[in-house]
Amino acid sequence: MGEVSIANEIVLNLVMQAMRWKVVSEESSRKVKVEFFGPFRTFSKGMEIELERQLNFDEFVSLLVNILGEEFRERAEKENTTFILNRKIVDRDNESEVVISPGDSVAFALLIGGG
Amino acid sequence: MKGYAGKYLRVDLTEGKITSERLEEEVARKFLGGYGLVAWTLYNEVQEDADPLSPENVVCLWSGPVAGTPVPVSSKYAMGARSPLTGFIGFGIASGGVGSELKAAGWDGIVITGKASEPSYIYVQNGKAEIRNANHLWGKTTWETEDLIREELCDDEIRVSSIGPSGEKMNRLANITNDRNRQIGRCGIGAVMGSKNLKAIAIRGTGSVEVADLDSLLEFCLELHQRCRGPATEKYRILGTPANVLVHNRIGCLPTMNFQKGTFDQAEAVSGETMLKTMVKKIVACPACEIACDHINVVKEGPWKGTVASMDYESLEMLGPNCGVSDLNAITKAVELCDTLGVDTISAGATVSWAMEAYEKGFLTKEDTDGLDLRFGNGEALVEAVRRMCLREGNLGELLADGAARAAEKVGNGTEKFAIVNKKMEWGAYSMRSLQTATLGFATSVRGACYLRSGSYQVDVKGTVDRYHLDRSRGKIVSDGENLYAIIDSLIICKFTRGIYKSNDEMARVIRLVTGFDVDAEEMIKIGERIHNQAKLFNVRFGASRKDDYPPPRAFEEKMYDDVSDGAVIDRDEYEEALSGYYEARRWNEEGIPTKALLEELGLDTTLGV
Repeated sequence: MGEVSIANEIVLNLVMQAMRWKVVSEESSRKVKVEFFGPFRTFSKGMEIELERQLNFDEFVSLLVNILGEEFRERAEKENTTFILNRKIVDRDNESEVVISPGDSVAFALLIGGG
Repeated sequence: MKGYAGKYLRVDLTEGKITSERLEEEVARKFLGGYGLVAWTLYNEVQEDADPLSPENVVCLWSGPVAGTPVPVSSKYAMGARSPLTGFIGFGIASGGVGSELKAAGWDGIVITGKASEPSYIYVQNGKAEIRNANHLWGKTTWETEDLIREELCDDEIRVSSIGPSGEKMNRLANITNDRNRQIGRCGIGAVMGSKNLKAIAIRGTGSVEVADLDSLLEFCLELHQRCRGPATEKYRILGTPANVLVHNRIGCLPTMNFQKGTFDQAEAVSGETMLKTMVKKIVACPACEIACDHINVVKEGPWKGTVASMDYESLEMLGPNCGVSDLNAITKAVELCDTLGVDTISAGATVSWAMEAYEKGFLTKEDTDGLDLRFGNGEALVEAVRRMCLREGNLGELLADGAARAAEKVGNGTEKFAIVNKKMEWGAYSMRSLQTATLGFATSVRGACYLRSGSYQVDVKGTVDRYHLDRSRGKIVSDGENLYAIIDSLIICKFTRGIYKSNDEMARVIRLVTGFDVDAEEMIKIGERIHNQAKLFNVRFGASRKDDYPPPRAFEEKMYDDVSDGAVIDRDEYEEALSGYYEARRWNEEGIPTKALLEELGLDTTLGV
């Protein structure tokens, strides 16, 4: 009997760990990780934002403007700003097609060429 | 001729003779200046049997038409010779004030032949020049040489381009330094100066440059300078080019551990952001520059306390993450050694990282390294390896002094596969497999692996193309970039100002206002095409063909392993297609040789065409 209850306890623990992992996983999957580089560091080094639904680029920038202020919009919308969505660099000519989803990782930066 | 002094110096070091030659207007119209006149000089003067380190090689220095005018950041100069590193055309462009000083002294360029019987330097002044003894300068660092020449000639405003001990020892990675922190870095031109017993070129001028339409030029330049202070150049001002470290790391194109990976887990420690907070002491600008990109680091503590070095992205990246080193003090010391002893930082970093990989894989032993534990990440070993390489000291120094390709040839055992080079020149700080348009540009560059010939990395990092794949259309992107960059490097203006010109028309307008040449944007690009083909013809003379236009084996045979670009590799068929697309865009044949019809159209010698 003792062995059975130990086994039950192990199984119960595993189930509870799995449930905890699921909760954490669902919470993190609602978050978008945002990183800032170069001049964007004046606003923040980085943050995580809860997202209930998918947003387009303008909506996402507006969300950040609510947190970081209107100056962020000016900076983010400049032609030379690089916007990185997960591992892809977004072509700014096609930014209207961008969709940011819960669980994504994004970054704002300025890329520099050689001289 | 407006915008030009209209004459250049010819210095025969063997005979100790200096003459003045006229720069014909037809030549100036066809090749503009800088890179263009380097290509023209070398094609016409370096014979097929000229060993790069023999008196038969020619070394030349050219300014451009805009040097000494109000055009923003226009004080640059170019130097060239047959490269002892690649065997092909070798040239570099440096910032600082040498270009405008030469024009102020009344000269457009200097063509140097022969070999001096003892260490010498050339002193150029208003309308005259002399060869002076440099026995007392031999063995001195570049910084010491600059100071000693100014002291000797009692003039603090003399501009000096000099070699360090590495150039004297004819290291094939040797560079030329001016204004302390500016270099003709690549292709080993410093070794050519060393082979000629030429320690330095010192220049002092007080004249001015006459332009075709001064009023209009001043008005336009006022606007250009205002744009220079605007968003187009903002990125260079704040963190300087080291801002690239974290961004390149984020997008998986930061060469790490000899180009094995595209991310570095300690990138934050070597970032521009960290550097600005902890090490940057001073930010410096070139003459006529509103940007001030040059960030000077000072080491504040530890064994290298007091070390001073100008830190740009390429130096930082190649001697940092690419060697697995995250200690900014060690990286700064390695850069200082390169700058003062006279070796190109990019090639130094790529050569040491090759040695680190060879050591970790057992191809180099402690006997080969003279006891140095040359593992990736060992900052002290990096500093010591760089010092020995610069001075050809011991087994390791002798092995590394001529670059990664030659070191790998000596060691063999397959180490050639991870010498990251093209045309035997070390690859710059852009990942091969996660920036594939850039790779096509690097590999087809006339001077060997180089990010500055076409700027083709731009379409990769802007997301305009799929950077993990290639197709035929990339060839035209590289070709178009080369034509425009040939103009930028011939005028010569700083590439950091390319964004202030709203169109090619505006750049052509600068040429018109300065020189009076009737050049529109289309004609300007045609000049760029001519210059590039002239440089290519030089390479064809020395046997260049399709075989020389490939990245190293690692690009095709090994997949990257990191969080961002994991699995990235260049598909060989895609590369072949892109390379053929490049030749097609250039109107060269499938072997990469210009056709006679093209050369005739461009007004170039057709002898080597097909």
